[in-house]
Amino acid sequence: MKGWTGKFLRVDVSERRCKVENYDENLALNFIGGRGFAVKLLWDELPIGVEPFSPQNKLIFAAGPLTGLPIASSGKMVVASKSPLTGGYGDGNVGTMASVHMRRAGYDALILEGVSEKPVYIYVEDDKVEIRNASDLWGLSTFEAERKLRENVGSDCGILVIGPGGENLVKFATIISQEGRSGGRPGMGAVMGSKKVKAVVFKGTGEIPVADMDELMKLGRMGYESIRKASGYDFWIRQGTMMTVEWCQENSTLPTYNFREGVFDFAENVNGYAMEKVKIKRRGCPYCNMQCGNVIEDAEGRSSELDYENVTMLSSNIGVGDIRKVGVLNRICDEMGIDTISSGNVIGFIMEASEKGLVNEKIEWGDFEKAKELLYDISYRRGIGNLLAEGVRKISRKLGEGSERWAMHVKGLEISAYDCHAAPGMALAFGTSPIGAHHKDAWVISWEISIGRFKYDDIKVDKVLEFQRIRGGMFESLVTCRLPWIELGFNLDWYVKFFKAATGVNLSLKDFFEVGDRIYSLIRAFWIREYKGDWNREMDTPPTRWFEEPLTKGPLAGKKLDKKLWNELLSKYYERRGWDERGVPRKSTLKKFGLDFTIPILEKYVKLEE
Amino acid sequence: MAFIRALGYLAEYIGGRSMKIRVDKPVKIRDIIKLPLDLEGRIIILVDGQPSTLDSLIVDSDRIVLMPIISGG
Repeated sequence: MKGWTGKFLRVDVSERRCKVENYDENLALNFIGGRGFAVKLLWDELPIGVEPFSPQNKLIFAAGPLTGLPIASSGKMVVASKSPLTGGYGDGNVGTMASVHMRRAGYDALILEGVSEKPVYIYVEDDKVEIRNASDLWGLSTFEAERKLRENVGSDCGILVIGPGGENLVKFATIISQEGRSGGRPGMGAVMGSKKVKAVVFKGTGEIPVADMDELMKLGRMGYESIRKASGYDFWIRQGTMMTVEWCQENSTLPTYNFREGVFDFAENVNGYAMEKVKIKRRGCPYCNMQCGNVIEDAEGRSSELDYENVTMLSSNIGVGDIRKVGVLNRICDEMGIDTISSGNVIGFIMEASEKGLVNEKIEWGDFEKAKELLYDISYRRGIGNLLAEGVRKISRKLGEGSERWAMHVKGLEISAYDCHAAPGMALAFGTSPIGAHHKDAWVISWEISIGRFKYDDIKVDKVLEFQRIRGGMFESLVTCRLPWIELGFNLDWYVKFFKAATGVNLSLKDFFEVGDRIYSLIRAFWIREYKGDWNREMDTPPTRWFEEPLTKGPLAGKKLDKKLWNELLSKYYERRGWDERGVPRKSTLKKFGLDFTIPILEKYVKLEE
Repeated sequence: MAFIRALGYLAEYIGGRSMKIRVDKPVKIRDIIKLPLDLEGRIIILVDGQPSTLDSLIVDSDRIVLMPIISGG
């Protein structure tokens, strides 16, 4: 094989055993890589209903055939596992030199299994693999741990690390790299912590096998040039995703006060222009020429890397209207190794719970000092932080009193930063996202606004599906970043050409989309299996708040979603996916995508329709 | 006066984040705002909240919002 290395590295920290495995070419052709590899490995290898923190759960670090090659935005990898937050399939995408070094070391994925007795880190240098003592790293922040590791192993490597959040099994702990790159929202950092693995270091000195290197280099140069010349490039370099704050405020989609509103009185203080005033540098993922990490000097004089999602969830959603204070909250999340989106979501939730008198603690909207304290309490599971560390679904079940109606999650994963009171298509995208409510797979809200946001038309279902195939399927399996495509008009045909040059295999966009559909149905099968068939369309339905409590501020005051019409969208989505009215894949669909092996398992728990 | 608001990089094409312009007779948006060709298909235009195009006619008192199609954070 070319493009793929054809090898997985398996490390069992219980048995302290490492093994290099060749995988079958059909796996590469049917699942491409990244998320595709991850879900197939988890389906095949996890005992059904495995407890996420048990030794039998596995943590997958997976690259794709374009990862680490000199083409646009290819320095990314997928981290995946059975999620302790949702109980289903969980993954995240992180831009890191670790992805490049893993591939140069000769591996397309690392499969981490078992539970170590003592803290360890994994050191991989080409074919040398060691499980090393990490007692001196345990307890350190992600920044401190990575710096200390670099003192030991040098700077020419890629490091993935967890912080106290992961060590203390915070259900939305992430994996961090390069002091600000974060991935694995549904608790991938907690799974790593449960295995007592503080860090993974990759140092690769080999060449990634490529079918036609001359062609790939030529395409790579042309691609970078095309991105650089696109209209809007210079502004992107200035603000990156931070321009989205202004965009969402204008469109009443800025999550505000636990998603009660779509506009924030202090949006001007936390938008891209406010960020530019305190920006000190820019950084981002390897092989990217449109790096979007804006580093500011925060209110404590430290560096903090911002983008739209973390800023919004830690500003408007909790009422903090000062970009430098938001920078502090964001940096603490990165240091502790907890997800900024879920953190902003649970803090917003508990502020509302306090306002409504559901908890004894007084936690007021916009209380920056209290928010800061809560982030540490969550990371160390102190006081009320111990409950917050469980995520908003579990907190609301514990508090009761109808709080489930404004617990802003889908499938247990906290909603990311787009209010959907007046965006039924985006609400469908959140509902059907394969990891729970996340924007990565189908950010349809732009198109939705361009065609009429209040409509419940079939075209919105088609757009969600199209985006899921492109973003959730193609980009997550190749593995490359989705941002050049929409933000700077980088045509999808580039990826077909990159893939051909890297692998020698001719796949059309249609072929990639079919792979995406295969991955989606397998992920859905995984959820149903892990939930032992306790599955219905409510699992794909956004929170009641968006259907029952209209916006009260801004130009769209009075707007909310229509439950009946939205449910019709969901039914049409199921129909086009080949899933039944419960959201369960039909037998014919599973067979069509070569997923016959799931049928006997699923039939133990649900009746499959033909 | 028509009010034009431009988000993100589109602000650079109208010389600021917003502007007012006198519109004496109905005029196409593309006749008053010059955008590079590669941006067509990458932008959203709302006139008084309604989806519109560069060929939509505007009149005095219209509120026009130009924004890039973006894909989130």
